[in-house]
Amino acid sequence: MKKVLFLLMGLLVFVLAACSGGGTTKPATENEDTKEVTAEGSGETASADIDWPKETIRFIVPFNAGGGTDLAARALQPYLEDELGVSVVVENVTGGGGWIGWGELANAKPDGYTLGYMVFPNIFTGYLNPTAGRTETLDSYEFLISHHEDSGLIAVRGDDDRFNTIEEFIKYAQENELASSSGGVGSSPHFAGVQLNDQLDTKLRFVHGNGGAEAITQLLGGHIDVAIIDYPASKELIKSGEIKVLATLGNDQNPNLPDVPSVNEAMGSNVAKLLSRGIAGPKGMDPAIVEKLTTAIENAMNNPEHKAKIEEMGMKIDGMNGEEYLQSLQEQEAAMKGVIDLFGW
Amino acid sequence: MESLQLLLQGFETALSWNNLFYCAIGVLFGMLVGVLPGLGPAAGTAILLPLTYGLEPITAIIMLAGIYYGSMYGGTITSILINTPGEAASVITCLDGYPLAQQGRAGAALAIAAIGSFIGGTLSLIGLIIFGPIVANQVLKFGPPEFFALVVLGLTLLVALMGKSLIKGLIAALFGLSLAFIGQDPGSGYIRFSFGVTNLTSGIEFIAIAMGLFGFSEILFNIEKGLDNKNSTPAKIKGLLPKKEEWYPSLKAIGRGSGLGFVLGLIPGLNSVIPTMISYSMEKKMSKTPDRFGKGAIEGVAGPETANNAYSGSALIPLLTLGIPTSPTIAVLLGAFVMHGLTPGPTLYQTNPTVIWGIIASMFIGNLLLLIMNWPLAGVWAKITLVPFKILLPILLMVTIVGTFSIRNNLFDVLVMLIFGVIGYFFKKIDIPLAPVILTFVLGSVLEKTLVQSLTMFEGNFFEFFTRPISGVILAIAIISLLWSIYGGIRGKKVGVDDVEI
Repeated sequence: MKKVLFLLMGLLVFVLAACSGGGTTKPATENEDTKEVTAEGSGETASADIDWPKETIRFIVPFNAGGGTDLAARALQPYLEDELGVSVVVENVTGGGGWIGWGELANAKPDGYTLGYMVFPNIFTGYLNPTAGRTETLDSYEFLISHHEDSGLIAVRGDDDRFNTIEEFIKYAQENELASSSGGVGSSPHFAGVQLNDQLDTKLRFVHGNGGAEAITQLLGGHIDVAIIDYPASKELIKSGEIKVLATLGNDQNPNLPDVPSVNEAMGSNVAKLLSRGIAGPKGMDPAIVEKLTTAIENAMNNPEHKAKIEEMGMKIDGMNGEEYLQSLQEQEAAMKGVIDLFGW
Repeated sequence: MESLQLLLQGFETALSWNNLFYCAIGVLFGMLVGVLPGLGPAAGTAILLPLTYGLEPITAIIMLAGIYYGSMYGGTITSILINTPGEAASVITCLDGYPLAQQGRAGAALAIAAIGSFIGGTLSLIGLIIFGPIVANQVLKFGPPEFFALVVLGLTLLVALMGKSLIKGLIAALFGLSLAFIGQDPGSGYIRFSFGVTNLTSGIEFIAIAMGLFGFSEILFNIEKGLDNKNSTPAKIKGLLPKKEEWYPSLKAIGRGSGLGFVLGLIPGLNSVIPTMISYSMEKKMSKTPDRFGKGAIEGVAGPETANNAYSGSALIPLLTLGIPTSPTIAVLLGAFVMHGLTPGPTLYQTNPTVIWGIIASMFIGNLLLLIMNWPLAGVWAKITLVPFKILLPILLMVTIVGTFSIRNNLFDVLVMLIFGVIGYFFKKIDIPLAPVILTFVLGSVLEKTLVQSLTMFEGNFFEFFTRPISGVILAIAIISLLWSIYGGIRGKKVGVDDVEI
């Protein structure tokens, strides 16, 4: 009898693990997984039953107040408060390239009252850098929803007549070394540039700096040849013609720049978009809370006012969630692992 | 003349009751932010940013800009009164400001700082109006090699701050430089000297070191002297104005500081420390009695304080004309512009002149408000030095700890602050000067980063530093000044142990 029960249990665990896909077979989560299955079965009504949230929610933003990440998080916060009916407090826990905040998030109680703002590919760099000695991985978090993505731009000086199109640029860069901007080793611009070198045989070398503003200054001053930057920071300079955009990164065009192709469609490459930001909690959250929270964030994101704000910043609302989101992150992680040798790590 | 007309229109906008009110709130809050160590202008601006959603764009930016330049006034106050710089720009002010306070002349120091700040701020605004659009593109010629050269020049100027013993000064400078190594290597991403501590992977926080070395060590020092020791209570306040014979040299220092701060503010990404350092060593060098410096020379407060305010005005030029933020605070300000649907850049001058000129006009008014608030208030602030130490101590202790924590909401920084407090205490005991530690720490990371960047640009060819016109000239000046001081050191005994000069 005992044997049969054991077998049944084993089978159940196996099935559940297959359902959740993440491969977490901790006994404690067994119950929660069952709940998830029933919740999925009975539609969205199940989430209304739980008595959550009752208190203030901490929203950890691991970068400085006023930066791009912070502004995007604060743009969401008031609408999220409206949806959840409790206060959501943005807390800038900064340092360690974001890992002071993300480390705190991974260790927080998974009760849904601590959320974090996640920035990719920065998170990968943080634990893939062997000298960082981090133990966290994607498995340390419950990824709820992808907030938005920023495809990023390959930009040169407006008066640079060596290249006017992405094809000319790539051809030139295959034959000559060019200095490119970078926000530091393993930063999103560096990652993008290394992928170009890897896939299209360009010869970019990287002037590692502190980020977008520095890259633009150096580009305009003629100290570097090409900058890999985001749209919001360079919007006005593009309009005035001081900066010329050759292509967007990733597969998609920027709706604000209809004449600019994406590098992947023009060159047949498979370069990742510049960055994406999303929301996660610590691993082990109650699936009912996860569902209610995801729905709330989704509604907040779809608020037209909020949408307009994000689009004004030149970014694209995403909304990918659950399994799909995790899978996309795993793919991005694999892409970064593929070029990690080129970082010199 | 067109710009004069636009400026007048700007004043019309800025002088509306509504804008005037928010301008006053901005500068007042800015001053407060400057006074509270740890809460810097970047954080202060960011805190008020969400509150401006409901305001007119121009009103919102007038208020936020007020925080930015208001904090430059406030930062001085703690430097002078309790020897604790709230931000990098006021480290230098401690050198002579605090000795002045100990002599009972805190009022005079604060007053001259307020006057200098006003003049510097106003002059650089005038510069902003006249030269802003013209120079904007020129300053972009400052790339990594030029920054590297400037930092090297800054390091050679350190000699002026080293106090009595060159060797001890060098110990302090090298200690500061090696602290800057902690964290990620800018060229390879390799994390050095972090010993597996995540908090160290991005280096040590500047404010934690500054508050520890200057503020906490001072607290320890005073405790040692005894809480009830009569000697530890400072002398009576002797007036709120500099002495008659001090006015002329002070005004000259203010004039030089204005020019210097304005020019250096134009360079995008330059540290606010460099103008104050250069101003201080320039004043010391030009003074007929350089040995007064470090013991309460009023020019030593006037020059750097003016320079940092002039710097803060002209640092807006790259923002307004190109949309490039040159410091974290300005980055927040840029965020505010964007949030209110106005993106600074080459087109903003054309598309929205009312906003630009309204803001510039409001800054004239804001600077005037700050002068009016600060000059009479200098007396009130100065009275803090009369508070018995046993009452002041717990408050200071609380302010330094809470202030350090609030920078990044991080308890680790408090630990760093306490450790550096102890280090600072022992350094003071054995006469190792503290200013070089903090200044080389700030410059060290820029030095390393720009060196690596430049060498990447040059494909490893070091000599290109000398073939680029701007970096070549700056490096030549640095080398000449170094050789000059070596020559002077060999030749004349005058430039000896007692007073190390460039």
